[in-house]
Amino acid sequence: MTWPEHGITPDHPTAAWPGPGDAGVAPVEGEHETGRPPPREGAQRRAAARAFRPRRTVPATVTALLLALAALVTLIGAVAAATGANMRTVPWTSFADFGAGPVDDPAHLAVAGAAVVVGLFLLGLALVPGRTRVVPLASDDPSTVTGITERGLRRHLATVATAVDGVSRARVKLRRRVVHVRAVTPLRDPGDLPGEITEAVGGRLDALRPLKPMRVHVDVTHGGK
Amino acid sequence: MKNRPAAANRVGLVLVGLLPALAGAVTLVRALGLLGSPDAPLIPPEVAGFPAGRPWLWPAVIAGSLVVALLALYWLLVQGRLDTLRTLELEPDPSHGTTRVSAGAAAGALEDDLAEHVGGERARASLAGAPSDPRLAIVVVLPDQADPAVARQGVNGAVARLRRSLETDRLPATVRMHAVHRRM
Repeated sequence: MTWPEHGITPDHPTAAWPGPGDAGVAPVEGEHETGRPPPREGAQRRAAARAFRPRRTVPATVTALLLALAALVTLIGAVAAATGANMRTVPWTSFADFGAGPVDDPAHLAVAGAAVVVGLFLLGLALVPGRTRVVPLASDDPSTVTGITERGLRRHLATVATAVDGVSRARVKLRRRVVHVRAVTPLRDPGDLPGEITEAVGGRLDALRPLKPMRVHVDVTHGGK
Repeated sequence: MKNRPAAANRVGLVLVGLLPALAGAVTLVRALGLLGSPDAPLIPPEVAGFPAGRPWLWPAVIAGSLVVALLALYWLLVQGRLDTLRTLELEPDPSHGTTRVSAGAAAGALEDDLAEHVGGERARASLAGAPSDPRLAIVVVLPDQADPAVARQGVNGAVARLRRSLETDRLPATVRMHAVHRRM
């Protein structure tokens, strides 16, 4: 039996996945690799990519609104033409004058160029999958897709880094496969602070099990409280 | 059907995007002189004079634009709805009749369960898809101190309890977690 939504069989639980504790613990020179790739990771990744793909709600709303407006204007014009009534709501004569000019009129070229740009932009929005703002996480339940928003993950990992003794501030940036932590410490000699931060943030990442393994990179700078 | 509104949005954007792209491209090609003289009027006289003597044309345009306007309005309304379900029909064997459950009640029960066992700032649940093949969507907002791995376990437990109480084993779920800053 295969889940229609996820392409994952429910008969293969994910017990073999690395737990929070058993992935690489020792940080190596500020770099930290999280868990081994779990089995069925590809299926989970594909399911997550499908589930978290952008819905294009904003461009669809704007386009639908403009399309409705254009159809209404056409409707008004057609009613005016059919009944012979003079509806002065839309400047039809200037439209007619515009259309009567030669093709290579600069105004025509400008409008045609803009139309091509707008049309290709809409096609791009439709055909490009788009970047998800969600980091997919491994799930113990094969029919569940789990993810955390990038902003949420950044905030949480910054909180984890700040909780390390000797860190006054921390900022987190997410690259494709690297979590970049910039911490500020009031200590003159940071000692093993980078290692401790790497361990704290890496340990939390191990517990979260992102489907794409992420390394932790830590920069510590000296600064006042 | 999976993710219906998202697929509809992309199809709609393709259809609407093709129109200006093609019209603009044809105009630019004509201006280069590749399709007749570039001095010809933008709208040829045959097209401009077409409605004269054809009384059926304007009613046809009225009907066509009405259809397009209604389709566009429907597309607009669908954005807010995201195909939320009203009822669930959960019976593995349809020949034994169907059991209808209110989707809102199921989602509400799950939200209560999440509030109790996961905590966090907010938890939202909704059901989408077909009544006989529903999908669960969960959004959990956590304070930034809370461990999302723990929250994930809590959510999985709540989903498992919902599946058990609905006596179904095929309720795929999508969980989206978010963290917000909370001043202590």
